[in-house]
Amino acid sequence: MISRVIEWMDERFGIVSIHRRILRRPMPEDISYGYCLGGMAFTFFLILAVTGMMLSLYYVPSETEAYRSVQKITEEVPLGWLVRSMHKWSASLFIIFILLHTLRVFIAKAYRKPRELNWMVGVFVLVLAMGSGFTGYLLPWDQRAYWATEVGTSMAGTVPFIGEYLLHLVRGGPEVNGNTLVRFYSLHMLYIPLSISAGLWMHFHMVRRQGVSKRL
Amino acid sequence: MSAERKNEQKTFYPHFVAEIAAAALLCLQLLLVLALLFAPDTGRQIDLSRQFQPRPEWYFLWLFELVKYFPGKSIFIGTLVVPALSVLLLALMPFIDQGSSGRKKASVVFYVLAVMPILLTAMYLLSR
Repeated sequence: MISRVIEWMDERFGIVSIHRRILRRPMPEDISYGYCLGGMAFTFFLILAVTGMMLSLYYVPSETEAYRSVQKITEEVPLGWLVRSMHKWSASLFIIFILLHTLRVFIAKAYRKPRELNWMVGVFVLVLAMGSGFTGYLLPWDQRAYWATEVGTSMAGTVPFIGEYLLHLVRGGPEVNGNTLVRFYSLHMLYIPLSISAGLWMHFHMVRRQGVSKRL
Repeated sequence: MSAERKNEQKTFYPHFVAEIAAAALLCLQLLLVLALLFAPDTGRQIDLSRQFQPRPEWYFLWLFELVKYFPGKSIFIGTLVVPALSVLLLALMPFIDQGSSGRKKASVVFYVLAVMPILLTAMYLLSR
């Protein structure tokens, strides 16, 4: 019965035959568990996406409401504290596993031709992941968040010549304020996740095209 | 490779999907242990009259420490030059590793890029 439904769907959708090639592709025998590290980082990215979407149901990105909404998530919403905690910890684990994956790839010399571009995409994703951590840090809108962002964004102001302009651009004003919060929220929820997704799509596409490199 | 061996060739599905699922579950376990044991609390409300000594996420501590060594006008070396150069060198690793001694050069660069943040983070933690 289920297979008939799937067949009916696929007759119109035509998605199975395309994916059969991907799913049935042969894999080398001699790869170690070290090759899991990147996939584990990706697992944390997926968990970040899911928990982030859950948090967005209650979080209010406004100067007056943000603090209260985080308090509500932590103290009132059922299991809200756990979802928030999982989001925070996945963020750290995401970075840790990207770094371990980078180390593994470097040791395996797997950045060499023809994988140069994939290595660069990987570095791009690492930088974006750190950017996501930075922008997410402000969202609880408490003392710690405010002053960390105050100090962090002030670094933009030290850039020669365009510093003042850059600082204004990052903060949406001379000081960290409600504009900064909305700006960081947008970056954290939209720009960065979309960019990371695009980066990872390229990353995986190239892995599939080029295969994994030979073992260490 | 004989024909018989070829038939045994492992494919992504189902052989690797099972192992991937196991690894993903392991990730979830690790996450749940940390998330359940160390849940973040709600911080204090923003008080602009009281300067707060902030502490960034652990992966930014090295930058925080680095900036201290470039006071005054040279601060942009710590905030811009070193971080930008680090990212650039890391991204260009495949092109540093060129020629007969390429791997050696790449290894030195990678080693510096790995040790510098670790050292600076350690210095930050010790100086507190």
